[in-house]
Amino acid sequence: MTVELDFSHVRRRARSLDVGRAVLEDHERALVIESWRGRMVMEYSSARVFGDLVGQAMRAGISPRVVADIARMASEEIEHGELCAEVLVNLDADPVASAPELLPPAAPHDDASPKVAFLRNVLSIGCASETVAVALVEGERAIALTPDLERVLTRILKDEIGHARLGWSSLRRAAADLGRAELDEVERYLPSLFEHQIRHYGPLAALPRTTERARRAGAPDGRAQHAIFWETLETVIVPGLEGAGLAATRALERALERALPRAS
Amino acid sequence: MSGDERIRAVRAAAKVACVAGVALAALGALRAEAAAAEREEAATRESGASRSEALFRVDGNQGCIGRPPTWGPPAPPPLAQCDREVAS
Repeated sequence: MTVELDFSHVRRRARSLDVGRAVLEDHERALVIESWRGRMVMEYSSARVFGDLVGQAMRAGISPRVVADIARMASEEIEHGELCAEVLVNLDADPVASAPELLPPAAPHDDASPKVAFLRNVLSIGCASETVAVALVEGERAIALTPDLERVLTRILKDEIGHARLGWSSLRRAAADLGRAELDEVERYLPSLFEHQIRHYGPLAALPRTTERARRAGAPDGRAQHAIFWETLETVIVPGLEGAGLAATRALERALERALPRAS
Repeated sequence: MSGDERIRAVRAAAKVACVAGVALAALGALRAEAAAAEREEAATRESGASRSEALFRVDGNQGCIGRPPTWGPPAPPPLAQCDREVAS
């Protein structure tokens, strides 16, 4: 089941942006529109993930200041959806899309204490997904087709950096505060986390190639983005988790061992 | 996207982790790795890229609601059953 996601309200206040409409061929524009439409849906949908995290942070006794930050992050994801819709309007496209009616919630981790449950999810969201997002957005910002597109990406990047830092700062505090037994419960989760990341970003590698102009306007550069995912995973995320005392290298190996038989 | 642009992108992610006080891999090593990847057509890095391509062929786009993944975080997954059993 799907629902119609309608961001037409942005038309009332949409700025006139140069997003490359005049220079894109029709087939390029179609790809770029599809990409920004997908982003509109994904950004909006991800607000629920931070919404779930608010409740988990409260149950874990996390500082109200941090809980307020997480609540703001949910709002930022919706604003990113609106920014994507604004780009669509400037591409002469309707900011409307179908979205799944039901999306999975953040895992409740009933097997663990509230603090461990919160930390598992904040590692998945902040240290993994949003750290990859920082690299992906920056990769696109570096080649943005127009200054207006670069400004949109800069605004999104600023927020994604904050979301990633939530993960790394939470990990730093946990490494100092939690006992070894609780850190072991966090560490036990890492193979599941990595397996999920590999499956989530894997589709990038299979995306069809497109023109350089379309890529610079937002059509996915699947192979380059897939390479960025792996570079970020192996050179930033795993060393960062290891630096906090978690056996991330071994966990990544386990995730790959578990996943590979399914592919053969 | 050129190797330099990819390095810049990953450096941005590394900076985020660095600000939080987390140890980082040497960026020199990253530069060498990226240069090698450039020569070999980025996504064929043996350590992971080709393997997750294989996974995708089997499992489709699970977890990304029918669209290519972008920037919004997916919902964190539950602990895998096999890891539950290891602990019990």
